[in-house]
Amino acid sequence: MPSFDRDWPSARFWILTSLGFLVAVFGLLPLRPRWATLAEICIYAGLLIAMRVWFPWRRLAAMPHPHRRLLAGFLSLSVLGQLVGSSRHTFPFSQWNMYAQSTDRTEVPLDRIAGRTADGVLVDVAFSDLWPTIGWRVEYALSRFVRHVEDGEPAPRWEHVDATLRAVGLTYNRRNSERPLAEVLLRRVTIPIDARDGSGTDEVVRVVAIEGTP
Amino acid sequence: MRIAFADAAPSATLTLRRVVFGIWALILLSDPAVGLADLPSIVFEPAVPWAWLPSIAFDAGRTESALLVIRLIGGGGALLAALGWRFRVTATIAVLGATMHRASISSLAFVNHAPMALLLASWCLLLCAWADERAKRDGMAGENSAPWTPFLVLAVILYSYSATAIYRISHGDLGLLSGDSIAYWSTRNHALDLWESALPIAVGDHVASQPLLLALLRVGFPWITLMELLAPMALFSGRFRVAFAATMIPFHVLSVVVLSVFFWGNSILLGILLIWIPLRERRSA
Repeated sequence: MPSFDRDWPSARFWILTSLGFLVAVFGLLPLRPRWATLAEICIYAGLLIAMRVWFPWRRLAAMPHPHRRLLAGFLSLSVLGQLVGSSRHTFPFSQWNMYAQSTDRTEVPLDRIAGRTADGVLVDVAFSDLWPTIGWRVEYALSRFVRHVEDGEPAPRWEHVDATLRAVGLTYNRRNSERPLAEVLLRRVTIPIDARDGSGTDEVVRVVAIEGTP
Repeated sequence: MRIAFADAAPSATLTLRRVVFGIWALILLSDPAVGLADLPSIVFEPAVPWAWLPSIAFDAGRTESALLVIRLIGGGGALLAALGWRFRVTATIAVLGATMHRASISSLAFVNHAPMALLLASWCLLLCAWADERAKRDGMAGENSAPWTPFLVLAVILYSYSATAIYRISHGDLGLLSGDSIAYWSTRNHALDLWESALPIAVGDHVASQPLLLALLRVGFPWITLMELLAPMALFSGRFRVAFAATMIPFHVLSVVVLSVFFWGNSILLGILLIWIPLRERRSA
């Protein structure tokens, strides 16, 4: 078993750093389920111990001090960003949490939009036609607001939904001034994950009038 | 065991700089992110560093003209950094521009992980250049710092894989392996208005109706999670580096086909760090 290199910071430093992490994660930003976070910290510790035992850390003694500090700083901030769990607050040290939630849903709920002109003609509106590089983000944000409403969150999320739909209408009308929309419709579309199970549903759940139409 | 880039020449760092900052130049100069100004303030949740500034700064920063300034200055800096001209200065401008640009976009909906590895790599390359300078000034010029820049970039990238697996293990449940989760995600992602969904190779909407493919994905998922968890081993083991590259690069390609998600930044960096640079080192040896 390799011995600890003398060049590396002392055990006291690591203990204090670890305690600081725990205080930051559990005390300042309690945004996550704590037991899962505790399990996460234990796995980090286990991985660190395993690497400490089996890998030739001694070779890293050749690394110049500024680079060591850099490595320690980067990894500390990355772990902090991971444990805090709010990627916007720790940007660019975001939380890596892809594909960690299971689901037993058999249908995918989607939030689509359509427009209606003053003479009643329905128009299909695609987010990516309005905003080629960020359209999917608008779609995602809208869906999140709708989920918040459905989950009964106290925040006035319909205001967010309506504001997004209004932005859709105004942007569409700026580009299509010859046939502007008078209303924007929020459609709840569901599609079965297995196409053999039917064709899903499509219903209008919200209508917002677009004022100031040119 | 042999640590990664033990015999790396300074050209390895130069290659990384050219690739990483070249890609940032392309992104910043070509992605207008038009539309942020069309949306009302209440739909945004500003990301750092915007979150540290008054809200009026973010509202001003997401207008088309402000974004154009950020893109031109950051993109110009990235282009010059890729060409190696006054690297520490131009890379600082590029990294700040790229961070502001990504933070603006990430303030809408969520932080997309696909370009994050590339952003962290650019921060790492910049700070390593300053660390090299500091080492020289502190009289450590005799120490060979050439291997440590690619080593640090690789360490930061590998951490992201390990963190993903650790999160999945600690926060996930067995339903990830047995249920319809994979079919759900592939169907949902394919239905979203993503550029990957429009590719002819994207078949996410057919996954649930292909039992063999679904079974393969369910078997492959734990394997991928295990490789992700052990990712830091690639820093010290040549054999694991080969196994990791052979697993992860095809996995990123498969993600486009099945999940309509392409981690292009990670794929490029893994290709450069685990294939291109080692092959070039072997040839020159």
